[in-house]
Amino acid sequence: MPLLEVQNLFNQHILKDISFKVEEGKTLGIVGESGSGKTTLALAILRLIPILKGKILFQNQDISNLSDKELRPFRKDMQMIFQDPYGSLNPRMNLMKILEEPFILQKISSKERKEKVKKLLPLFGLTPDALSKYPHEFSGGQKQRISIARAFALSPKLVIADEPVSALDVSIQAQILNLIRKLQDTFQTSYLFISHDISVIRYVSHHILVLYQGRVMEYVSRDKFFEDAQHPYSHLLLESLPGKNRKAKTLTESIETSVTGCVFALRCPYKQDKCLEVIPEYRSLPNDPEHLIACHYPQRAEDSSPITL
Amino acid sequence: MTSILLEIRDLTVGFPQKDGFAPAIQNLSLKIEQGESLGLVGESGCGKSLLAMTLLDLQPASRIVNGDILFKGESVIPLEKRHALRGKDISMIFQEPMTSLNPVMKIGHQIGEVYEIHKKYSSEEARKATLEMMKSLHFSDPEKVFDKYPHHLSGGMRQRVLIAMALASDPLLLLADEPTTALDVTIQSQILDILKDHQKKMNMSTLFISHDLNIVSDMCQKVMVMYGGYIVESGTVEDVLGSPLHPYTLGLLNSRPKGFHQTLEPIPGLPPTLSERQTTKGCLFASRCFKATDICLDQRPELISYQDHWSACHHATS
Repeated sequence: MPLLEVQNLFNQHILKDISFKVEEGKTLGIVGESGSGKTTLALAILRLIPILKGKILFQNQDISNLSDKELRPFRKDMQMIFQDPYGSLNPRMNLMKILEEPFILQKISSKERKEKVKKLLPLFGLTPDALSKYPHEFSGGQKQRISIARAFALSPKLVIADEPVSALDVSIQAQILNLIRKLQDTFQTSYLFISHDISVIRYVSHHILVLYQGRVMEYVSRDKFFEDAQHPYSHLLLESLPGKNRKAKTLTESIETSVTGCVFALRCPYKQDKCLEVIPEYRSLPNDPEHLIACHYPQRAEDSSPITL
Repeated sequence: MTSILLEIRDLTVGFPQKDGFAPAIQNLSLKIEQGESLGLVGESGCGKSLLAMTLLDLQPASRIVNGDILFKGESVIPLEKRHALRGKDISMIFQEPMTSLNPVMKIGHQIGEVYEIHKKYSSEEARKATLEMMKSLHFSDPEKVFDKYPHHLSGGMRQRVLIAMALASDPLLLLADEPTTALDVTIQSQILDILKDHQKKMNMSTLFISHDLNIVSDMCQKVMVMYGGYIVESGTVEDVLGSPLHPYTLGLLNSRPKGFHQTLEPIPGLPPTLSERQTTKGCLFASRCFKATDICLDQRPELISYQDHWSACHHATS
C-alpha cells in the first residue's frame, strides 16, 4: 500500500489532473520549471490551499474533503521543509521555543517536551548550548538543520521538502543532503522532494515526477528516467544540464500559452497536428505499467547514451 | 596576437573599520584577454561579487586599499574612470532578474535607454536596435514584448531583458554575476547559448561568476577559485576541475551529487568570517582541510605556479 496516493487532482488555476503515488520510506523527486506547479502541488497535498476535485489518499484514507478539525490528527504525519531557511524561522524565538512548538500543538506537557527537544538535537548535528540562541546567530546550513529538526519533531511519515538546498552553498548542500538521506534510512520517512537541480534530484529520489504547466508529463523510476525517459520535455530537461556535454538547443519561448492540445506542444520538437488539438492521455507505456507518460508520441532520446552529470 | 583587456595587480579591497580595514579581497591578481572567458567560483562571502562590483565602483562601502586595475592598459583606479566604463565598455548582468528591472517602465524603453545613452541613438533608432536585439535573443514577438512591463514576463524572459541591456552597448567586458542561478535548466541552457554566441560574434571577454562548477566548465576556458578573499587555485578549466591542486577545489567537486549510489563528502565547517580572516595566522582553509598540518596553521600559503596551474596550498603536490 502506498503511503500517499494522489488521484486526478485539480486546483483552481494550476494543477490539472495530477496522479501519482509515494511508497513508504521512498522519495519522489518533483522536477519542472518555475510555474509548473511544483510548490502548488505540495501545498495542495497539505491542504493549505483549496482543491477543486480529485483525491488525496494518505494511508488509504481520502483527506481531500476533511475539515480543519478532522485534518488535525494527520497534520503531525505530514510536515514541510521550506526553501528559505532565513524566512521560515521566527526571529523572536530561540531554538528551544522553535523546536518546542510542534509538541505544544500536540498538547504535550512542558517538562516532557523539553526532554524531547533535547533528545532531538544530536540527530541533526545540533548541540544543547544552541538552545538559547536565536535564528540570526546561526549560519544558513544550521538554520536549515533547525527547519529539518522542527519538521521531524513529531516523527512524520511524509516530509515535503521544497527546494531545501537551493539557497545553500555546495559544500553545505552536501551536508544537508546527507542528513536528509540518513533520516530516511533511520525513520523510513517518505519524501516529496522538489528541486530544479536535476543532479540533486538524482541523488535523493527513487521515483521522478516531471511537471509542465500543471500537468504530469512523465512519472517513472529514477534509473529509467536517466536511461530511458520517453517524454520530449524530459529529454529537454536532461539535455539542458550544464557542463561539457550540454547539447545546445535554443527553443523560442512564447508568451502565448494557450493551446487546446498538449501543453508542451508549442515547444516540442516532435509535435504533430494531433498534439496541438488533443490533450494526450496520462497512461502507462504498453510494455511497462510502472512508466507513465502524457505524450501522443513517446520515444527515446535521439542520443540515448547515459547522462553524465 | 591576443591582447590583455583587463589586468588586476595585487588588489586588496576592504571595508573601513575604526582601526584600518577589514580585507574582503586580498592580493588578487588576474588577467583577462580579449574574447576570453574567465570563471570565478567560491562560496558566498568569498569576495567574488565584490570583485565585479569593485571594477565598476558599485559597492560604496568598500575601498581599494592596495593594487592596480588596468583596463586596456590604462589604470582605472580613479573613480571617474571606472564610472565612465559602467554600462559601456564594461557591463554587468546581475543575479536577480526579479529585482533588477524598473517595474514602472516598459521593457522596450529599458533596453532602448542603453542605446540612447551610450550610442547616442535617436529614440527611433533605439527602438529599431532594441527590436533587433530582442530578436537575436529569441524573443518570439519583440514588437509585443516591447510594450510589456516586467511583471508580464517570466523569469527567463526578464533575465534575457537584462542580458539585452548588458549587451546593447557592445561591451568589451561582460561581468556576469550568477546570471542563471534563478532560472530553470531549460532556460539556463538558452541563456548560456546566447552568451556564447555573443562572445564569439563580438569577441567579448567575460568574467563569469558562479558557484556551479558545471556551468563554469561549460562556459569558460580558465577558472579561478576564491576562498576567504584569496585566489586559492587558478588555471585552465581542464587542469583546475580535472586535476585540482587545492583541497578546497577538491572539496567543492566532491560536494556535488553525481549519482544515487555515491555518498557525498561535504567540506566540514564554515568559511571564515571577515574578523576570523584577520585573526588567523596560517591558511584560512586549514580548519576545514583534511590535509592540514602544523605549517598550515602557522604560515599563510602563497599562490605558486605548477606549470601554469596555480595553487595556494602547502601540500599542493603531495
